[in-house]
Amino acid sequence: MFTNEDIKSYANKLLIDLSEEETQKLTSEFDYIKKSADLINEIPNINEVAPMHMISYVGDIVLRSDEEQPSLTKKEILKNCDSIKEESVCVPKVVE
Amino acid sequence: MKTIEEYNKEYIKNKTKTLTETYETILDAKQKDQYYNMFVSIIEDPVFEEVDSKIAGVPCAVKDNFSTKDLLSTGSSNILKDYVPVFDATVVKKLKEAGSIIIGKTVLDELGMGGTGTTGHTGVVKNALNSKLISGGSSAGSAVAVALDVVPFAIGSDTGDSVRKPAAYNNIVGYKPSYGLISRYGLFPFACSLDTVGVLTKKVKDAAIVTDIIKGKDSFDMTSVDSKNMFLEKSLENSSNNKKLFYIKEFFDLSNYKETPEYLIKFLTNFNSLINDLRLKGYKIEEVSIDKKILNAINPTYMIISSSEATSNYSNLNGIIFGPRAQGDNVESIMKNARTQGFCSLIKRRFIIGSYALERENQEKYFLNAKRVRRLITNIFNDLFKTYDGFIMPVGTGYIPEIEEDFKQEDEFLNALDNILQIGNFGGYPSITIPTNIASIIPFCINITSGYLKDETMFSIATDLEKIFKGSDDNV
Repeated sequence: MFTNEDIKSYANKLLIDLSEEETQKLTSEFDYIKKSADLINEIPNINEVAPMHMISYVGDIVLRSDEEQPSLTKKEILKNCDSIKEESVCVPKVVE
Repeated sequence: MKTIEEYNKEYIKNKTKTLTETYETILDAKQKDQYYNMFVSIIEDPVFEEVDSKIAGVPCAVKDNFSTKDLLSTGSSNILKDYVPVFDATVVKKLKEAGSIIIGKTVLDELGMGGTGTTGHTGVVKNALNSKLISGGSSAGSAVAVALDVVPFAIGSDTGDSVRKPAAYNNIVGYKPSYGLISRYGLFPFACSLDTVGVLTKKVKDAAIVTDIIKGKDSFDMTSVDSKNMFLEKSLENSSNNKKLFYIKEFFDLSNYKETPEYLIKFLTNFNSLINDLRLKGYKIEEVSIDKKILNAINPTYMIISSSEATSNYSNLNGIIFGPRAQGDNVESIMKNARTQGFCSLIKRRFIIGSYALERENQEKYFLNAKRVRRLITNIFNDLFKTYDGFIMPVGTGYIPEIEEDFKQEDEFLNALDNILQIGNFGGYPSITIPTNIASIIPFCINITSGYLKDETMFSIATDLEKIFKGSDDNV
């Protein structure tokens, strides 16, 4: 049985706040979500199988040669910035 | 609708006419978009290279989760609503270099995480055949743009069935290549171990033509594979009906379902008739039995792996690295506010499932066990592909929800049938949806999946089936 606090805690770890409505809805659904997730644990001896992280037969991994590449211009870098001052990116204060 | 070859021939004959017709295509896109809402942005003044290629002069659309240099690329999410990339995704670069004309960026379920076409930040995408129904997703806009004949092909992405399912819902061709065949560089990552670039078209041949151009090893994507000896368009010439196919027996036994709605019975009957018809035409099609417990675990496995990978991939959408800067007293509150305001409820739901599976006490039970099930299923299918050339299944369950409907699939085995195409992503298999022309209230499409990097085999089956279906409307 999941509580609103459980759901808020999972969200908080991902730096997400939930509205009361979102919390209530997810709490009411989460027993069903867990029941569905538990279907994977009904497979006999599943813990004896090695986890598959990727398609195991991806091609050879070749590193790019260590050559200098053109970098972005200042104009390009600043294009997606919300807050700019004298061609610099303004960042939030990180020291209290 | 003209085929890619027809567009290309006209371009070679008269380039000025192609330019005029491109503006007509843009006008058509704008008009249809007003009702169907399949575009995030339409490019008013597209540019294209004058080159010699099979897609030169051919208009196309690209899903809005691919980076396009100097063009808005939103992922259909509020958190990227103003994002203008400084580079082109490899697939976009290859399309441009080959002279294709990108006329618009298409709507998706927010960040690719959905299968309805209803969660994009610019609104719901309507089904091209029945506007009351969902279009399917997440490559919703790409599917509808092709289905409405705005463009002869569109680029999508497929993590679970996001190209192949909307293709079926809109009665067109949807192809997910083998994992790594097309570079993912510049595709917004959702679940990297499953993500695949895909192509939506009206004809099987068109999917082969486009993929021959955009596939290939890319130094910017370490999972991309060398396919220089793979010739997909040429493989269509090997079309023959001596291929050996299989389907999963359990899905056609009604006693396995808790409920057997009329639409499901009709759907399975249609498939059985189609199989019998193909057998008469020389196909060897056999039924294969797979443990129901394993089949029931397909969708939970997908949900756990994809949601867990997504929590990691989208951690950079925090209002500082990407996305609009939110207000806040400190860095953490700025990031939290940006993420809270930037994601819709459905995305938050998926993230929380991922967060739950990644809790220290749950990692073994859910996250790692899901990966174990993935291997188990992949091993089963790898073995089957040693005997068979392809896996044939109908797409969906015979039911497409209405846009306004709060649809939930309560029957876990019906849910397994609905999500069977996720197997293609587990094993990285090539997989294609093809319309059948069987008379039905909603489109009845089938899917062919073949072994990893057996895309040529898959295409030779698909083109043969397409010819059979084309030659016999309402054949069952």
